[in-house]
Amino acid sequence: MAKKDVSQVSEMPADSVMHVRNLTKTFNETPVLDDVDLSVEKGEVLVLLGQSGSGKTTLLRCLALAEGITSGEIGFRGQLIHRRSMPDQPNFSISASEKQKLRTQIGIVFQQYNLFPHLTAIQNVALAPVHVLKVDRDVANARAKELLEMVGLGSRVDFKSHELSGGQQQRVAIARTLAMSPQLLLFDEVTSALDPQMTAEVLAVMKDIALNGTTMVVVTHEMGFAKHVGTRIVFMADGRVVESGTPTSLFENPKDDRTKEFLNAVLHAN
Amino acid sequence: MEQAIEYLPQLLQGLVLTVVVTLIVMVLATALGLLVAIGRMSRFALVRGPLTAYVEFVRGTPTLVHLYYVFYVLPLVGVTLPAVLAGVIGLTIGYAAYLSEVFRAAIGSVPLVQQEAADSLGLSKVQSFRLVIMPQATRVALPPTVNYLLSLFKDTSLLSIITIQELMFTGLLIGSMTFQYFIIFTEVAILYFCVCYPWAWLARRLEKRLSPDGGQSTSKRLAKTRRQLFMSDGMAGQK
Ligand SMILES: Nc1ncnc2c1ncn2[C@@H]1O[C@H](COP(=O)(O)OP(=O)(O)OP(=O)(O)O)[C@@H](O)[C@H]1O
Ligand SMILES: [Mg+2]
Repeated sequence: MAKKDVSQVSEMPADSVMHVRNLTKTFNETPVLDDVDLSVEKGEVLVLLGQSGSGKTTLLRCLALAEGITSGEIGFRGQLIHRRSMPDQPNFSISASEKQKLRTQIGIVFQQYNLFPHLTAIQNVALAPVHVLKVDRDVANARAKELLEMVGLGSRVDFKSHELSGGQQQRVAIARTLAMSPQLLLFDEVTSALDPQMTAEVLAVMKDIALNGTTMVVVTHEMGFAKHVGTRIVFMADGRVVESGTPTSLFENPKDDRTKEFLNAVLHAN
Repeated sequence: MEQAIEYLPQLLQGLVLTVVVTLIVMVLATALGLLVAIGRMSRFALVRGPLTAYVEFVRGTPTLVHLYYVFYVLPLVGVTLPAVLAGVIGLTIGYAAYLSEVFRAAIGSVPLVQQEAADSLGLSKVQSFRLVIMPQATRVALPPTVNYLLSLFKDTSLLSIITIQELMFTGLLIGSMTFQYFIIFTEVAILYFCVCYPWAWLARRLEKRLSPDGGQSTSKRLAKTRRQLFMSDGMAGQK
């Protein structure tokens, strides 16, 4: 009973897929995330903006359960995952095996694709479904093929990563993540290593996924995507969330000076 | 020539034992080397410490000393082993240590982000090691491993000193009776070479097939750099 009380998260909106509260993260005593509160709602496309070094990757890694936290709370679909050094509340952490299970429900796509180079595209996509979800190999392969077709790589299923362009590799990486049918998809500057042509291909795929109603958190410098596909923009600076709102309100009427400065800089650069 | 043919069956017998011992040590040393490599990545210092000490100590001592220890020193404390077994153990001690270093370096050469990608897909540590890290590490480890096995094969000649009738011992034995050292050791050398050379060739083939770009062998890459070097040399010479 006591355990249940601890792991229950109070006062979370019913539709929250993932939330962090009072999240602080320090590396060697330097705060990188400073008292961040964020709740990701079901079906939304949350775009994280902010200058280099503002803590976007770190926040995303915390959401992906790839990074320990210094203090604060993380929860996933109403279930508490970590709580550390919160006033008047006991510390809590799920077990390693529970965490591993949760990680299958949270997909992350990296800037550098990180495909498994010894496997073909279809093997990359089918690997985790077969070994983690214990899906029958034929079923997993058929689904992998479907997903690769969906990202426009139906003719490249048997290619290894060194035989694919950057944009193609990134689309395989997206398919690999989608194969786990995650409840939440995280993207960390997935197009910043790509040229404009390949960027467009990848963004088109991401837009399709968003239109399917997938819950996404996207770190990107693509303002077009933020404006037209994003449903909410969160602006970060120095490890804090300084402003958030709909794309229209944030782009047309930014309140914080740092947001204005950032938007000025990127919009003029583009 | 007649003599050469006369000695051949005996020498071939010695060669068979040489190959058998090599294969046994190869299997044992590879398995142990892998365990040591994995053990040295343990988070428990109590596991890491002794293994590190073992590897460092063995790497700093000659194989012959390992052999003498097993063959001459262990009997003093009551452990007397048949010579062949002592030889196998003596060689395994060293080669397990060398190979563990090869495997450790190979595992370390797989980028950390590969582990992260595997973690993010929910693979367990064992699964990601087996399915993601090992296959990539194997490619890196294979060429040096095959080279070590080549020198293992040659090192079995040391076993002649502890009276094991492998190829070298057989050669010495016939030599001491016939004094035909020229013929005998020429034959011995040719026999060693006949095994080593195809092995080295196989190693190159394997390396080529397993390289991630599916492509260039070391010799091809070398040839390319060499050509470039010569080209600049040539131009310098023309001046
Ligand atoms: N492993 C680490 N050890 C120490 N400091 C780190 C580590 N990871 C990140 N940092 C620091 O945390 C800060 C935030 O980094 P983060 O990568 O989250 O920024 P970002 O907003 O993603 O930046 P960018 O747009 O350049 O990717 C930086 O100052 C960085 O130096
Ligand atoms: Mg970043």
